[in-house]
Amino acid sequence: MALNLKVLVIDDSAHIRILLSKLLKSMDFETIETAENGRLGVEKAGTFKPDIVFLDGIMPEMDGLTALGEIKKNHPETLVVISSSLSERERVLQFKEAGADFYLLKPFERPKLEEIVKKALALLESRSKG
Amino acid sequence: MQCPKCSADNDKIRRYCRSCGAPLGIFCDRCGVVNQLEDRFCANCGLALSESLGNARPLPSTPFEEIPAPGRNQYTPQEIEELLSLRRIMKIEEPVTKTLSQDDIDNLFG
Repeated sequence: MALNLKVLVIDDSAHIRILLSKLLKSMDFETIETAENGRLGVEKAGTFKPDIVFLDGIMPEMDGLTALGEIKKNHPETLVVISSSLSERERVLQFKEAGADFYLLKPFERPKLEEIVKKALALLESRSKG
Repeated sequence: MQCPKCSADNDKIRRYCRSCGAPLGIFCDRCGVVNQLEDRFCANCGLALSESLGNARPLPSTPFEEIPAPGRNQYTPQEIEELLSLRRIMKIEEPVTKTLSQDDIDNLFG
């Protein structure tokens, strides 16, 4: 069943944008947009108003941490999944403290993505009920 | 240890000069006296030279015989001390960065 939710994938790697989009479509997400850097991602978040954002950590023009801050400041209800290869504890904590809801460590496998998507959907559902 | 023939500086574990091949004698670790190659005990303090650094490796029969490179568990005490010193130095200089697995991150995010 198609999910009536909008997803924005922000990543400077075309490969990751295509891969995540395909995987999310196979998980019944229909409305998926992409952006290739943090600045464009923040702009698109303003117009597209996604429910879930997949956000890379290291990107040109505007990095993931800055973009996360902007997105959470302007759209606090949007769930943000950091999808990054950054695994240093301090860096991960920076994202958490800046408001990231989930963290998907690259390289990832489909089951982990599915698990995080399920958690995100459950969180959105509980918010809509609450 | 200085070579009596060519004056080249040699490590005290060497039995023959690295430059000219002249015999250097066996350096006693306890009192510092240089003994003859054939000596088994230090002429000055009586230390068994087989316990000294100079005897940590088997005696070569000629100055030109190749001394086998030390393999695992065959380092001299001096080499071990140098390696441990390097390790201590490197440990201090190594940046302390803790990387997390996906499971660690999941626990952080709850």
